[in-house]
Amino acid sequence: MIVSRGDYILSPLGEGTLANYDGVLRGESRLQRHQGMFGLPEPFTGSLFDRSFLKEITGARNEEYTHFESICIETIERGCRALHIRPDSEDTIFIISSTKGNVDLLMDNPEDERYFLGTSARKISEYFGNRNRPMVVSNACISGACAQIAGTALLESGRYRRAVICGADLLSRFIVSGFQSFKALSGEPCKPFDAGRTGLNLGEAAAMMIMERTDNAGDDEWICVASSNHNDANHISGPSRTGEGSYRVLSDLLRVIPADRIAFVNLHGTATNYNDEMESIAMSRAGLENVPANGLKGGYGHTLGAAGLLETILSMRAVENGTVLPTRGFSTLGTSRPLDVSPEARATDKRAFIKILSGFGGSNAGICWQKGGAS
Amino acid sequence: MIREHSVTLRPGFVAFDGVEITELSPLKLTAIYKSLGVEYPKFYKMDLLARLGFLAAEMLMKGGTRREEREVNGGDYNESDGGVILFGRSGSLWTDRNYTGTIRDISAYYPSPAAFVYTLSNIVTGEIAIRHRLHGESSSYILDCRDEELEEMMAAKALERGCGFVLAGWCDCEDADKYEVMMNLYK
Amino acid sequence: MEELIKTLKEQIIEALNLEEMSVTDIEDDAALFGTGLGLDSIDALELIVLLEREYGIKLSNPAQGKEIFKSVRSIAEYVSANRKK
Repeated sequence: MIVSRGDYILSPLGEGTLANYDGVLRGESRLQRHQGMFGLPEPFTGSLFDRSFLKEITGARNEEYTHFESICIETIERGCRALHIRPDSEDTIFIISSTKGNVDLLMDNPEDERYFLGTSARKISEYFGNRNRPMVVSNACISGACAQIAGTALLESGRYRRAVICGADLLSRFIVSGFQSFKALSGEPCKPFDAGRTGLNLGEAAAMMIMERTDNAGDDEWICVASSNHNDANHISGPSRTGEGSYRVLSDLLRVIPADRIAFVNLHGTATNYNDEMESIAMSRAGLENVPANGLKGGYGHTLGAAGLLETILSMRAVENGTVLPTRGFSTLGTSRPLDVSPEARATDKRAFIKILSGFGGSNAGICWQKGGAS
Repeated sequence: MIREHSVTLRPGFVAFDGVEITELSPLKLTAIYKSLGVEYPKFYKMDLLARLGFLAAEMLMKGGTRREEREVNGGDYNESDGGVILFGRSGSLWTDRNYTGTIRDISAYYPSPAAFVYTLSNIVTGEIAIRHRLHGESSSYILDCRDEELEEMMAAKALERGCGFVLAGWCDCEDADKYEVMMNLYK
Repeated sequence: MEELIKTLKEQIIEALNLEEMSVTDIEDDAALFGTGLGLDSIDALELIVLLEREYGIKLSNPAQGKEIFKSVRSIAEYVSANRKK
């Protein structure tokens, strides 16, 4: 079976998984209005790393790394150090989850070789002395879940025993202007599933997780019990009106684990009109209307390639603490189907949760983790 | 796992199941599209990477490169559980450069939503899924060079996880005159 | 107005990559979305960019587009009444 050995989160909200978990539990956020950032003519509301922090971690190493590579390296290094794991062994593969990596470099030089994400990932894995070819998952907004699913596949194949999975994206004029041109951004902190939601916020974060193949997992270990990926086959930018892909994902997961064992479903919850509505339909079709649901983008914004990992890791801590994390920004339900969402933290005694995501390209993915064995 | 069909597309070269299709090789992508005899106006809106993926998928699903081939060679697929898993090196580089051109100069700053939507390397998998109504897995991976063993492994995994068939392989586009597609249909 | 309609058609074909179409293929009053030309939500956003780039018209609320983008003639009427360049 496939287990998680541990994780680390680096975000504007805090350094380390625990600091982030505490921040989310307290309802904190670094979402704020940025005027003139990245030379953008229009302001936007987002959650950004302190620029001096990015400079500092980038300057801390002798070789030349970009901000994107540096935030990945820093996150993986801190995580591995805390977990006492050496990522350089032959049976370890690096999987990087990112939507756009170093794309901002094209601004100054359209021929910049550092653009290629495979090369970037190679620099990251080589920093740690790992010689295996790293894999980059670039599946738009669902990348962070797909990286876990790919990790599961690679470990189950026997080709590797351990996977270092890191998801990260930094914002730039490229990414923010694109979402602005889509009229998808909210000018104020986003309100997932709320009747007054007006769009999403973008955010920056990096999150890492160590996955391993093992023959017997202890009761205190996180086991990946099911995962699924389905396409809507409907539209490249709009989610399916029937929630087809997400519904199929949820159905797959529920074939493995019954709904009454699920503590909560951590939804994508971008706070766009269409996404949240679609998720309510998918949840209802899957018979999950009464299972607690939440969304974490009110605290971080949409952290793109990091989102799937970040939100999975925070959900793990929540289950360990017997908690369903609050949905910041939510007050009155604004979806056509009922959803059990709350702005407050709630108690749970269940040991498993589902994380789902959806994104451009009609893609949908979900993963179910359980603490301890099936007993 | 069986490889039912394979397609190769490079500038000046088209092959199906390992045999060069000499009448298609010299053609531009839009001319290849027309020769396949499909009516799909959205093709013209796609970026280069999506057009390449679309053409390869079209041939694989048709079981050939001629208009009528499907009846003879096209498989009997349950499209609802088909998957598409693509690997590449350049991601959406061609469109990323184009889109960057619309935002570089603030005095001529008109970010194009139609370009931006293609600045994700998985959009090609979405276009293929929409065209053939494939509701199975869709994934896009970036590597620094091709790894056929990995492609086959991920395709086999998708079949094992419930896909009835998978379109999988290498689909890379650096520029209009620098691209390489080697896509397979696995069952 | 006829001249503006023709220019708009050319600009729409160019902006929306309707490569295979010519000015004569688009009727002045035909529906652009839905059954007509079959444009979608991304095209609507691209038309908003076109209005701003070519005519200096800023549509802050995309919902406005629904009425304006009904047909080429309705776009032309809106442009001639609101153009800044």
